[in-house]
Amino acid sequence: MNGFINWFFYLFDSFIFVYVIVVDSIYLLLFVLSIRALMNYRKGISLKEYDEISTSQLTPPVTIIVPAYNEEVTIEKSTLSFLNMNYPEYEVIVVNDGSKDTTLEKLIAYYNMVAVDQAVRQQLPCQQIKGIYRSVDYPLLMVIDKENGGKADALNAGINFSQYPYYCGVDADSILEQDALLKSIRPFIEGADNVIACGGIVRIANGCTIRDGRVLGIGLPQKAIGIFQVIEYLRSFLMGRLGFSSLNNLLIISGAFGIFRKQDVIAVGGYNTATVGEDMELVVRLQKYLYETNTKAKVLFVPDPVCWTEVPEDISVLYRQRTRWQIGLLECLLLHRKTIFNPKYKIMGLLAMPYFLIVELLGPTIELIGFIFLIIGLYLGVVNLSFAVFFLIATIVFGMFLSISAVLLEEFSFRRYPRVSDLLKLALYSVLENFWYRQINAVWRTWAFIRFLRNDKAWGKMTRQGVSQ
Amino acid sequence: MFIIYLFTVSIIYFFFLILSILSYLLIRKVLIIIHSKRKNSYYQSMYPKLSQYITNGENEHNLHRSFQPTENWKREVVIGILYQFCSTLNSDDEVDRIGKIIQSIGLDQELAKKLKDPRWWTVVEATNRVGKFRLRELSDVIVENLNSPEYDLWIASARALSLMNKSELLVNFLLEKETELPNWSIIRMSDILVHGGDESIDPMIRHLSQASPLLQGLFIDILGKKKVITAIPAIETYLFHEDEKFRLKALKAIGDIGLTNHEEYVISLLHSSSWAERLNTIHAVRNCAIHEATQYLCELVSDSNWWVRLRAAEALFSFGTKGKEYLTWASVYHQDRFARDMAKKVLQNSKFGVISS
Repeated sequence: MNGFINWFFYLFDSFIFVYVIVVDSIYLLLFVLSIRALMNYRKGISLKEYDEISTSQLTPPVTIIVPAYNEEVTIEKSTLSFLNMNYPEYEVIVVNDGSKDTTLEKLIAYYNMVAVDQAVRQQLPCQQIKGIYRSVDYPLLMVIDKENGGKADALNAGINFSQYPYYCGVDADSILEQDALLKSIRPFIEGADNVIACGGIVRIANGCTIRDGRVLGIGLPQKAIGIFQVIEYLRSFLMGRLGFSSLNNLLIISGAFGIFRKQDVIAVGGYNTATVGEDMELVVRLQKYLYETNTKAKVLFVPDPVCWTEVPEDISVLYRQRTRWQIGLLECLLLHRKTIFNPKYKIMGLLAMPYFLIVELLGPTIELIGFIFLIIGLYLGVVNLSFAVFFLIATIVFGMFLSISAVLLEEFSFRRYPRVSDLLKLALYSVLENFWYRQINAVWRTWAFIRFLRNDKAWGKMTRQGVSQ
Repeated sequence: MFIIYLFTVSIIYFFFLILSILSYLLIRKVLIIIHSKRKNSYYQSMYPKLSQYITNGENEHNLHRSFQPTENWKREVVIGILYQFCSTLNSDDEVDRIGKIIQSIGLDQELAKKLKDPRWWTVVEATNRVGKFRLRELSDVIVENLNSPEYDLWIASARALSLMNKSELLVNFLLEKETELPNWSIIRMSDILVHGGDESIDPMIRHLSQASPLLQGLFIDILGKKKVITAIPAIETYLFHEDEKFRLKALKAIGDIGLTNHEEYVISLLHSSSWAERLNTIHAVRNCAIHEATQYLCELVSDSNWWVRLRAAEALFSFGTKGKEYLTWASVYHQDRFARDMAKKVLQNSKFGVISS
């Protein structure tokens, strides 16, 4: 029996060791790619003339589609930010996805909206439309009231009503910076590459001073849980997405902010209403479509256009959000499992999809199981104590390195957080993150598998505080 | 054992790497904050002085004393202010005054040197400044960079030449190098020509018929967007072209200019079998205010194409009482359901100011 246990632990330790090496190597690769991409981007960005793009007749008109479900706290001010964009021609379509609160009533009252009849080009299937409203004060604004069908269904409805060739999907609790559209449309109009989708960076609005849909002052959230999320977002956007974008294999554009060429989204059938991770699922389908049709087009991430979003600072809301994200990822990988390790899809099949499977989906669970087995092994005396301690330290130091690297990338490139104390706080929390936040996330994400097996995909109540005054 | 040793070294290395980068960034951040305060205060004091001089020529005799910054950061602030003014220059006098300040601080020499720098991004930055400051004496160097394979440099050079009222050089460049250029760069160039000065108009009209089909289409677009009335006869010859692509461009340009000598022929194109041609004809009919086409527009409200229906209804609406009366009738009684919907949509949109131009 002892022999079996020793053999089992030896095998498991070896697996964990190899796994950690592989994952850390991928992270290092992404970090290096991100530094390179960021330096190139920064070098070029100072030379761009955005005035020219804003007055250019080549700048395509864009529809901003805002799916809204129970967003009564934030919808008025966030819509105001979408109506104040510095962009030559655009429209804003807010899709009220059968909200049970006063989202629609608030919009109607605040923007002086009246019901209209509207001819629509039904290009994607969606739930029944209950009403269409236009604002007397803001000609750009249209509100679609429809039966509840989920975020994906609301986006499909918005696409049907949009009259422009490009659309920008934005979350209703988000605020776009005035130049965000202009900056993210630049890759499309420069024309050197055939770009079909482009995502911008999502930053955390908690702690910022926001008035009437405009960010007036940038600061860090008050609560530790908010600061941890700032670091997470920086790591995810400035390292992960930038790295994969430079390999032309970006598989996710955040649902909170991304521009798409409408014809391609319609060609692949629009958003999938059967998954909760509709943003990633769409981009994976678009990438597959490009490989299968042998089209030389790109899905890009640009780190400069900013969308500010409110993140949960309540632990139970954060738990629901994280388990939902994990279920979305799992569904997406299951739907497109044939692409994983499939050489037909080149980098996507051999690197990007396996990364999402091994690192993003299974990583937290493997980490959790590793910790549990480590404790059991130590108890049974089959794990070498010094090796275990050393290995634990190594993992934590590397985690710290990655988090601090993301903060450093931010400070090196955009410096959006103005105070010295902000930088110090971010550095400090990058260290602290490894001592409980990372572990609790691993537990939640593992629990998501059980929720998935129980077919519990409910979004849950997402309480908003409202960050705009 | 070796692996553990390797790992230990890596961890220590990572740790010190992080610490040193963090320290560097901290020091940098502190310095940036201190500098920005000082720069801001200097900016506040210099802005009104420079504004007075550039717009009214006041304090010219004190030019050297007032505006010659002694330190590098002060010079950068002054250059920044000048750069801001360059976006709203109204006269040659203002351009000359800016030129004098630039000479007095030696920026022209510096930019000339930077234009020959081997690093393309330095050249782009210098080109942008030369263009904005209208330093025409440096245009020869910039023309050479039109051949650069680097997108940013190429586009900055084209933009700078346009700002210096030398856009005829861009037309000549297009005519000479068209076959070597990718389509996207030609389209980008047309955008610059649309916003550039009028000196490009004559060469475009002169070379319209001899240029390649791609450039002919491009010149028609540009002349339309620039609303060049003198180009109408040349553009109208393309209304009778056998290639639909040219007819579409001509109709679009005529619509953009808002004038035509061939009203009857334009009206006849409303019956074209191509929906794109019907669509562009509606654009021309509407903008040239050809009211004789009203009855045909009424028919097109029930066209098989969604865009044709929409634009026909919008054109009718823009034609005043008669068009609006027809749309009101059509929104209720038209036998075609799609026509009813479209008439209703346009009438409703008009109430919210969303009828497209």
